[in-house]
Amino acid sequence: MLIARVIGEVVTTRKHASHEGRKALVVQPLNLDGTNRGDAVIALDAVDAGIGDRVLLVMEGYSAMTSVGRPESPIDMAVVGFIDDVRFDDDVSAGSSGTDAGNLSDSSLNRGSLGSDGGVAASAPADPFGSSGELLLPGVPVKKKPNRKSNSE
Amino acid sequence: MILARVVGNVVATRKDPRLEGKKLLILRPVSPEGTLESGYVIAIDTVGAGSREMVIAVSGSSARMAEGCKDRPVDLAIIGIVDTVHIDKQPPGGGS
Amino acid sequence: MYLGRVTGCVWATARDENLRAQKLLIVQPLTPEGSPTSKSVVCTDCTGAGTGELVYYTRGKEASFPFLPDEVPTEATIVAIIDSITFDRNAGAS
Repeated sequence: MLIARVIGEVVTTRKHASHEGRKALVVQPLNLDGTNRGDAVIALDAVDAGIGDRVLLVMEGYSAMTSVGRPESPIDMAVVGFIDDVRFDDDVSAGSSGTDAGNLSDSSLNRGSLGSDGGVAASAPADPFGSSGELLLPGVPVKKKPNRKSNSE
Repeated sequence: MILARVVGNVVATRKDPRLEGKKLLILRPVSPEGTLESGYVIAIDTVGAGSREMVIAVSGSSARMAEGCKDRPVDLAIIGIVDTVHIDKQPPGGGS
Repeated sequence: MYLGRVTGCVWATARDENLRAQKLLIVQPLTPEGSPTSKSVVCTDCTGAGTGELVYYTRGKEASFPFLPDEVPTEATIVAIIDSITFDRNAGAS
């Protein structure tokens, strides 16, 4: 599942019968910092979401079609919940710029300053985990086996 | 399946009723060596994973085979908590 | 589902038997603004869509469901023709 923002709606008259009676929403998946993740998609609505809502988007067929009560239907995405809050386990030392790293509130996912090209919002917090991908969290032990000589001789 | 790190959770009170009762955790993929990779996913937790733990997650229709997920609308489920990762470093060509 | 515009169709005389009855349409995936997002795809269709129409299509195994009980080997099917689309990228601003 992904976090996404409902940005619109489509009106359709001619459609498969299984799409009747449910809103077809234009939904923009989001990264954790509030920027766009990929392209906008169309998802059927299972929870009466509206434009501007931050939602849970499921992108797998069975989950989507059963959420809208239409099993065995050509439905591959659905909005299945409203996101109240996104909480990070913020014990990263000094790596973040200090802007909302610990709690991605709705204002951080505020898209008000985004242009239509999906530029970065001025209020988006820095990625608290480091853009270079270095390990910033306590590690699981990683055991690397040494090079072994062939023991066939 | 993917290796991932639990980095947070999502609170959603209004949702499909079949999602009730299970935590929705934010996962970031990690390499076998443990470095965080880009992107994230939201997964349902079936094993009681805690914050910052490294986990194994399964995606797609197989996610519904996880414990307690049979009739839930899930596309990603945490199915294991990683204790250790063993990586074999074999020399190229298998020479001595 | 994915937004797109029908740009043409494909004629294929030699084809899988289970695909024989299907019209094959070329669809260009689009953003809501109308920009192409990725390469064009070939879709089956259950709506009677024509060239130039804005549509949305389903991918994956679900794409074969409209044609059951026939088992059509398709991974993308147009499931709706769009009359109008309303969107606001700035929605959600407080």
